Amino acid sequence: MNVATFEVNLPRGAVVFLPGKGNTWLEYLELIKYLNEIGFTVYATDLPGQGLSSRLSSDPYRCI
Amino acid sequence: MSDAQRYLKDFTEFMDKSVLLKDQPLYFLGHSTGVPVGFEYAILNPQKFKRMLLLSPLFAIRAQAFLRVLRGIVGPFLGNDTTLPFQKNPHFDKVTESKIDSFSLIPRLQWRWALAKNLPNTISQLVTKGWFDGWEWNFGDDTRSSTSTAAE
Repeated sequence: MNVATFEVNLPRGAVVFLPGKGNTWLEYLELIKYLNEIGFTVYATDLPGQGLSSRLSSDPYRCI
Repeated sequence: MSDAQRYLKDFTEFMDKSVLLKDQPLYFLGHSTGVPVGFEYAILNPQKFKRMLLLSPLFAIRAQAFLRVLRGIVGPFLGNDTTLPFQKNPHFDKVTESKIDSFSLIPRLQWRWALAKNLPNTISQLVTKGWFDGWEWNFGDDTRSSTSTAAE
């Protein structure tokens, strides 16, 4: 499972972000940047078979 | 072990080893079909997170119904695994449900690129409304929080 961590100094909390089917956290960099700016550490994940996570099938271009 | 069980196990290990060790207020943002994994985790570990927000591009309904719809969509993806926590316990306790809100993104912005662009604005509204500070919030007629729905 691919997880990207975007830490800030003295965070007010942590946000775990789970994108939808077919999506990757890479599409949400603006959201992640904004959450960092308001003081949250962000853990952005890719569901299995999507984005930078490992594939469930032998075809790397299919998400399922 | 099914793909769904394996992923929930991996996710739980990630949470225990990377996130919870830092003892910080924890929020989940689940967008569309990304919700169920966080939701399953929340049912198993309601004491470990502060609040969860389910973001839907289509509608805002109470959390349980929201997840039922999503289950129908992602069921095949997750293998329709009936051993997962939500399938075993669809009537999770009110304490857990009270921590979960659902929010409809503007329907006309349901295209993926627009959603990604719109989310910072959405979260900005949440901050303005005090969602992260535990305040009740209301975005208008087309949205409602599951917290208030659960109390009806």
